Amino acid sequence: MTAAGIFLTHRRSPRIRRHFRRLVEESGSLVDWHFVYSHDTGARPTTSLVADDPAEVLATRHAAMERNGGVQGGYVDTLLLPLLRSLAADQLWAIEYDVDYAGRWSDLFDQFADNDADLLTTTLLRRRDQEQWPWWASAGSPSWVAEEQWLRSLNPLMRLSRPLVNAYCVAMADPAWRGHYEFTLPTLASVSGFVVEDLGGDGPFTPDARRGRIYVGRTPAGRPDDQTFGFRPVRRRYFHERPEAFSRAGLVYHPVKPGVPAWTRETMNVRDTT
Amino acid sequence: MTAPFAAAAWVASGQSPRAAARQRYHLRVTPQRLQLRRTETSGTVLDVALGTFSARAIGAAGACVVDLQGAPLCIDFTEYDAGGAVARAPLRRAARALRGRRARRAFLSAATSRP
Repeated sequence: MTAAGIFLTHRRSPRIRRHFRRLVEESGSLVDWHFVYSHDTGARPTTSLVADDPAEVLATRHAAMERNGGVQGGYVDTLLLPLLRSLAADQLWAIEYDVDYAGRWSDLFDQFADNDADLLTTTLLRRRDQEQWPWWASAGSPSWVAEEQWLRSLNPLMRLSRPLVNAYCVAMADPAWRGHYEFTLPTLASVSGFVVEDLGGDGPFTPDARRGRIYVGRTPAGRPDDQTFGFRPVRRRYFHERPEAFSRAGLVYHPVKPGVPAWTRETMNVRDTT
Repeated sequence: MTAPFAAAAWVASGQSPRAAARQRYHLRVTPQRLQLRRTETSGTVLDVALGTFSARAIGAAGACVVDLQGAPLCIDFTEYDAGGAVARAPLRRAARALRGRRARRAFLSAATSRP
């Protein structure tokens, strides 16, 4: 199995570059990383990758993204999926610049090199596990998908198989799919019979062997006090800058905002237009 | 009445996706629906009503484009060698192209006729 990945950032700075370099150097041959700079709110970022046009690959979602005014707030799939489809590998990782690992990156990716799940992501929860998730309100699915089958996830760090990337792009042609891609992606994967696993944590999709490992995040019981991966708390320094600020080794952390304003529902992502 | 149709096909979103982007699906047209299921698990990926899309042949033998309200899917009934390569032997290539065209014709007939 070969693995490649996209490192996505909407800001450029020496600190983020150093973070990317550490990711590349420590991943070694486990993952072939590509830097992707999202310079505006659209789905065509700055990158050396040659990918098909998002307006064709995910036409329906792309049109919805444009109506939304940009990828922020649920349409990053229109940017990510065409790029993932262009990668020549079996396992396709996507990581955002504000994800960090308290340890050597190879120690993380080595744990998943032989894992054959089609979707590995975080905070995989059913609708009944978190009725208050704000994005259920905008979600919609075809009639062959029952609402009881709806899932949500948190995707700043995720891995997809090539068949799932294809199936997602095909399925989203149906305009009955609506809403945040952290709903559409895990739900489509699950109802189409793909293998869906939580990277770790303590949720309904966490395999026993990884329960309590990889990260601490929201569970059906709520938000734990010692959460490392979620919406909050915001950390201001990367692990390579201040390792002592990362209380538990061997876990992934999100969000880390190195001089970047934290995401809020009011401001979405502030873009660097310089 | 629309004739039922079932066959395996290579499918990818877009008008002319690269070969590496395609995956194999079971494709079925019933009197009411167009359905795509995964070949490995039979999991449904797409299930839409006839009449909600248009379909037309494109240049490559066996290939057509289904357009779901502006979202194109390339569907190719051509058989390929491992890795998506076209057969090298001319006779084999011609036979595959013929079978692809026949399947495409049957699919377009089933998918675009009305009950």
